[in-house]
Amino acid sequence: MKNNEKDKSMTFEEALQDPSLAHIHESILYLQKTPFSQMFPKKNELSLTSIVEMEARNLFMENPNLPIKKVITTIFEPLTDDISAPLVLKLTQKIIQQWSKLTATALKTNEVVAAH
Amino acid sequence: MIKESYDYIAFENKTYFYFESTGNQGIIRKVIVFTHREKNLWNLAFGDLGKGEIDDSIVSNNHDIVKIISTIAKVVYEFSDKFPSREIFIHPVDEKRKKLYNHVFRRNYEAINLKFHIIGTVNNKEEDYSTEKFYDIFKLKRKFVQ
Repeated sequence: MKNNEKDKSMTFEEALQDPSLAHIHESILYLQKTPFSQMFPKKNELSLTSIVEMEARNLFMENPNLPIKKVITTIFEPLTDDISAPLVLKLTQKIIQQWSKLTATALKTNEVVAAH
Repeated sequence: MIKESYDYIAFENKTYFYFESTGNQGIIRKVIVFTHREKNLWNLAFGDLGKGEIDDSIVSNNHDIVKIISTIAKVVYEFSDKFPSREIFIHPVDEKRKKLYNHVFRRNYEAINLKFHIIGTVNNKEEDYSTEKFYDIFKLKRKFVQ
């Protein structure tokens, strides 16, 4: 690889021109054609799960009375389109679970406050 | 923060980075990928490139962890220099990596904090990063976006 302390990076086009890097061209081509969800399935699911759970929490803080349908569509809307159908189902379940948990906690807190 | 690092190749508009770790296990091909999640949120992923697949849970044990972390840090700065408005989301895949990332952030807090706001997440709650706490997820927001 290029051994220049000032600029250690090179573009893919530069790499393709460098015969000493022929052994990695195949790897790079694989990376270019493989979707992230296939490259990092575990991380893909974990990170999307965290994002939807955090968004659910943020939405709940803004409006705890939001209908669940609206909650789900609001959270999914900004996500990228390349999420698989099984993962969409899992994420939807996570959102519903998180929303139910937050609602139950809020109700419990309200009951405690009312009792005092 | 950035000590000796590996040379790398950036491609796909600086969202993919390739480098090779060299150590007692030989040469291990590594890849760093930034993928779009939502709005301006980009997920940082890192793993070993095997035969036709990437393993992001493997511990290579090539005795070059500091050099690898420095390479990742350099890549993060390069990505952020090119796309300062993009937020970088770092989600460890297991407990071992969670401990490692918490250690890296704690040790390098001052250097990272010069350029980034660090947000930590515990139990799905985001907060400003504190070196006193242990976080599940990290988010980097570039300071002084031009």
